[in-house]
Amino acid sequence: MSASTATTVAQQSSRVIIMTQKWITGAGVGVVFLALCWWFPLFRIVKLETLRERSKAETFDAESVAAELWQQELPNALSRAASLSQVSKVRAEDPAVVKERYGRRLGISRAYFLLVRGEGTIISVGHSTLNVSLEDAAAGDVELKLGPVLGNAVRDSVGFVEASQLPNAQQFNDLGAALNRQVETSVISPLKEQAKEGRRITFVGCAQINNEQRDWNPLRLVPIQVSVSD
Amino acid sequence: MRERLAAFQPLLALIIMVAVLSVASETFRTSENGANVLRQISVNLCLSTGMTLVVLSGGIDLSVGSVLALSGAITAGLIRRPLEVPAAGVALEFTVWGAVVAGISAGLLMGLFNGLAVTRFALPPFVATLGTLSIARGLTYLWTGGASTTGLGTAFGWMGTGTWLRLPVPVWISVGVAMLFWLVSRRTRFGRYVYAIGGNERAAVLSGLRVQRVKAWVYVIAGGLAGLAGLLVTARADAADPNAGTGYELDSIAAVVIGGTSLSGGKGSVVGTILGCLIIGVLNNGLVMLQVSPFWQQVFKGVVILVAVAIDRAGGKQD
Repeated sequence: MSASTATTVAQQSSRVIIMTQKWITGAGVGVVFLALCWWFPLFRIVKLETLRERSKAETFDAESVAAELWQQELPNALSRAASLSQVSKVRAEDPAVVKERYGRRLGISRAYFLLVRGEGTIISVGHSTLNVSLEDAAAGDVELKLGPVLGNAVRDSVGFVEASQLPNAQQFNDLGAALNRQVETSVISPLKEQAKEGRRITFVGCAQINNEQRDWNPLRLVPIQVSVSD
Repeated sequence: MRERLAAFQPLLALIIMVAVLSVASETFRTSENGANVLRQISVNLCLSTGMTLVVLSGGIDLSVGSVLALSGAITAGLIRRPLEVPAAGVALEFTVWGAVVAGISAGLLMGLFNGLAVTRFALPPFVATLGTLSIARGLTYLWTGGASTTGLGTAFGWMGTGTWLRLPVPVWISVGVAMLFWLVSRRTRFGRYVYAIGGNERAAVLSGLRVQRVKAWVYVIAGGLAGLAGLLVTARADAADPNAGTGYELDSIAAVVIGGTSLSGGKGSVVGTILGCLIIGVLNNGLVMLQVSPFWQQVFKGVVILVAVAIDRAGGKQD
């Protein structure tokens, strides 16, 4: 055998050894992966019919969830509402403390939500708002919403449900809209009928503060409980 | 000797930054803040490790941010809802582990797509991965319907928020990944091929290296690591945001460049990238601690990247 033939044979056998090593390593990794999948399955197979029946039972009905939460959780939320007189006093000393002490924030958002209570006299009734002069004159006037309720002030002030408790943001948004409808039917409709200038009103309301200068003059609230008397 | 000194430049820069910020801010030098910085850089470290291999081979991968979002969305979607197969009349209910494997596999597939586009269709890496950036983002929107998926459970959340031996789990994962690929790049034949291809692709071809295959594998690895980074982001936020990872490719490229890896390929290391990630993380954190405006933070970051590239270019001319 010549030297060049010997070299070629040596090169070929070394290539075969390398390929064999590669195959053994690949097969080893494959076996370990399959063993892992055997002990810890990647998925379970279920019939579509079974799945559909199950998902029918689990369909998210935002309106009924909102109605149920309104019934069960509202008393707790009302008891947490801060007095507007107190909040105004604190704000006069240091506006930043209001955000820390009474505000509710979602994630890293700069906006915050307030849940407050107050009482005063109705000074004007408009198409979509009514203005109240508070009993504590230092607290100024507030504006209560009478028109369609938009945004997330109610959902995020009362804090019945956190975003992480629902599977996706869509359901969280649907719940916010359903709570707004709940407020419109159970609070705002009766209020519209009773609201007249000069009558006394006691209320609990929600506010979203995006801008410290603009949103406090006057404070705009979505009422979630009201009581009107002469 | 000069090359060895150049390798110490990022470390020196990091030491100076940490020293200055420790003096300037008391909060900066607390151990809690140290853990926080490490947690913050863990996602970028995963992305940048893959990016280092791509850049070392003479390429670039602009799709990592979108691939991150796609992997996170697929994992979250499979955890939350079964995958229906109407033709077979069945649905697959994924376990958390199964969803994790599927998410990383999505990253690997997008990486393979990049690899094939660059090697088989001879597209420039910049163009090929720019296309994948858009494709992956579009697929993410299609899969999620544009909405975030939340409520992924504590088992999956542990990956992003848990701690082990007093260090956040994402730190262990990302450092493990970086060390593994440091070994791969320094101690394996594959690693040497990557350097050889990036240093002189023509010479690598003439030497008989399977250049196209190695390059394709590099993109597959980068895709897989982007997928892993997507899982870390999703687990930490307990939500898959279809807009996640936007602009992360730039942070990743910045970390690679600041770490001393040459954009023309063949020069650099994963260790340098770890330092690059730390420099960006410390810079971000320190500027926040010093209450510097976010707009100025962007300016500072840009200046640091330019200086790093200028030093790299100056070194290249001297060589």
